Amino acid sequence: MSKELKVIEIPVGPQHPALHEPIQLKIWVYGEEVVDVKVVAGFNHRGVEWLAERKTWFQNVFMCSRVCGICNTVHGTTCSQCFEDLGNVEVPPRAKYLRVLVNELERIHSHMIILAIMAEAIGFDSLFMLMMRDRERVMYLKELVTGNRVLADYVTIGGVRRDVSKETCDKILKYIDFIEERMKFYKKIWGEDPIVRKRLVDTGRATASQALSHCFVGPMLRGSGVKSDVRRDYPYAAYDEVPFNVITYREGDSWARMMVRVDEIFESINMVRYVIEHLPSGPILPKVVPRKLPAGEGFSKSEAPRGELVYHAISKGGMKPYRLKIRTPSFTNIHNGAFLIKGAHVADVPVIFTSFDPCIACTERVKIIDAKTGKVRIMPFNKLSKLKKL
Amino acid sequence: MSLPKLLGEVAKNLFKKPATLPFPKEEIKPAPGYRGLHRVNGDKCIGCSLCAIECPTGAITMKMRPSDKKKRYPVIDYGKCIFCYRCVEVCPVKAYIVSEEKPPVIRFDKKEAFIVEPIFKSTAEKPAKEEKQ
Repeated sequence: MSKELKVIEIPVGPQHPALHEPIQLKIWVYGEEVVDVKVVAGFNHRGVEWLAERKTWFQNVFMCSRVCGICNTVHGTTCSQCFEDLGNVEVPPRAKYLRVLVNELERIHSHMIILAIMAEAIGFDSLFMLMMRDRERVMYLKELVTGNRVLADYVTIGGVRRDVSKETCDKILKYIDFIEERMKFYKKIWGEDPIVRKRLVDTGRATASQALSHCFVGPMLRGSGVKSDVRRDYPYAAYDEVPFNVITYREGDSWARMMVRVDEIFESINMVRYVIEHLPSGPILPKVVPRKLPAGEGFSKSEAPRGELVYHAISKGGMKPYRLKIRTPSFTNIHNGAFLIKGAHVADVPVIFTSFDPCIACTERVKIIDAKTGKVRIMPFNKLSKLKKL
Repeated sequence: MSLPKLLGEVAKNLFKKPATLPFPKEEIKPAPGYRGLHRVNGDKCIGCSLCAIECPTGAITMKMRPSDKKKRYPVIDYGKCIFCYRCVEVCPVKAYIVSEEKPPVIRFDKKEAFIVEPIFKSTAEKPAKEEKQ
């Protein structure tokens, strides 16, 4: 019964490859070991950058919030900051603090959902259910502050769209205490539970030099022991006034990445408390916000829950941007992090992939540049799929 | 190997009420200030078209008034609306009526039912269509 082992190609996805979003991982296996991996993206392309050139500045803030569902406020914040940079709009201090408040609430719920999904990926369903139940409190807080549960549409050019009352602040403090207590319990599970540790420790290990050479961003970089955070290095909004620690773990495996997220939730909780206690009074919007922005370039960076998010806008003056470039953290993390899957077992593929915290909706924007002629073509996805060769 | 730490928590939940609600019978109350269904007060509206210009999705179209051929009024398509309340914000006369009512579930076979006209008090204008849910 001795048969020679062959290298077999297995498609993981595009339907539910560990996450509920469409991306395909083509893996080649030799026995149980993964020998090669290729990331096939493009199932969720919507042409956001193309659309951005056809909408006004204010409409673009709403549309850019919809690039990603989970981290929508940070997209809105960065987009607004980019346009403010372009138009030299000054943001009032109260609006800056409120931006920090909502961005940190978003970081808490985003980290909680990926921790829950990781629990589901390793087959720990009761932890998944409990974490999702407690996450609902954070979603309620976000709804209370912004007016919507998921798509907040809170930030606009020049400031924020809504003020918080004193009762809202009291409610936030009350709920945040509850979340902190629950997270202390979950931290014990993530740090000590034998089921979690056996599955996560030593899977998908990346050293600090590998993480830097592969351009990892966010918790993936910090999980490998590199102290890098846009909030600390290039502070935006009110992050230069709010104290916080940058969490790093030295292990560099899937477990370290998840523990970075667990500890960042505690940091975010402390930041929310600080913001509410030190909220300055004053207006939330400047008196005049220009509808037309001058010609020039705008640039903005921020720390999304998944890492560094970059917006770059070019304007030729008038109502619409000439070009808007978005670089999302998941784009670098998914494509450059695929090398971690090589050499792992087949069963470890979803665990490693989930530990990237991939956001597929973020990554999918396409502009085709013909390498031979240098022509730029932008096309809808149905045409793109009919092309035989690119 | 020690026992899983979650076991006590799971056992406790056996004697608790479920965290979810039986949806059609009971609904979660939205938080105060929730951005729900909004309508236009047709009598207040001056027909400046600012909401239609600013709408990010193009959900608002301007229609001619039957009584006054020079004036217009906005018609909202809830199938396209994303409930960002940009229209409520930009309206110079505050003609929009906001509520915390949940948006209807859109049926694609009855798209026309979700294109809603403003509320008019005066009889000279067309009466507002009631939306079907």
